[in-house]
Amino acid sequence: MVTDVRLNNRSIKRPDASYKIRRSQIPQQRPAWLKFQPNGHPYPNVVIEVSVNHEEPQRLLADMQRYFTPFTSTRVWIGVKYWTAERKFWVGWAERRRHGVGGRLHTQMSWPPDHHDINVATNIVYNIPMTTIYGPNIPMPQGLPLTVTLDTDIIRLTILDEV
Amino acid sequence: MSAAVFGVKHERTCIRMTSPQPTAAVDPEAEAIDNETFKKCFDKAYNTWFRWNLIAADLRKIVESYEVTAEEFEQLAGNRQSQRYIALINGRIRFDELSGPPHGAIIGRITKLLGTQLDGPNGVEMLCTVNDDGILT
Repeated sequence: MVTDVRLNNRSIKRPDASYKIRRSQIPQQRPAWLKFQPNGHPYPNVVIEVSVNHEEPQRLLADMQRYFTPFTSTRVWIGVKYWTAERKFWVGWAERRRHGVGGRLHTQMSWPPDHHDINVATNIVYNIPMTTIYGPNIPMPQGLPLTVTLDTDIIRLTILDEV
Repeated sequence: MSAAVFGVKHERTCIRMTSPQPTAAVDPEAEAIDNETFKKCFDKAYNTWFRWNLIAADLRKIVESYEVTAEEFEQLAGNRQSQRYIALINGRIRFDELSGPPHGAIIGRITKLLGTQLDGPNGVEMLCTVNDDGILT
């Protein structure tokens, strides 16, 4: 299983997890926006990056932008950062910009020094449109909800369970 | 994954040095080092980083001073246990800080959350998860 993502000819990054369209489910007439890696697999529609370290948040955001180059067809990025010493965290998501290059970040959480204490409920729920995730001209299974719900409190409780 | 996947076998003997900065382990006058020397530097950097989550400054400078291609990067970093934390950014190798707990738990939770919502009501799976199993084939 190849999980690397070739972001362009000079950049390769492996997301922590990702979702790609099954090859058997790609329409015979491939949508023009869908791009393929050298191994023949489509670029993941969704990538997930989780950072539990002392690196600058700017690195996470710079990497986020790299997933939305003209060479890829990644549509949604989900990022989580947890600061162990401070016991604080951040969650956001991004979608490809309308003109096709770069990511547009969505978040209601702040960066340091105002990042969120894991002992305090966030009451923040992100709703990511299903059509944004699947992309144009990819048939979605019937009965799907209109949005994918990402409850940041569930992530917070997961962290609390582990630390 | 290897260069052979792309139908091109890389036989380049030298890696172009794109930084004017001299390094401790190689001839500072040299503009290129051979692949074998660079690979040894990379291996040493990887081993110390993997064991202790740090790389000696001079070793890091060597590894980051040279520009490598995507195929060369895959040959160097592929099949490493912690390959996910090594990236190629604009032709330069980047060792990220290793993530500790609860890194895995967060990933597991998010993939489970998303997976249940992305599948159709009849279990129709259009989007499949690509978890990092640490193996490149």
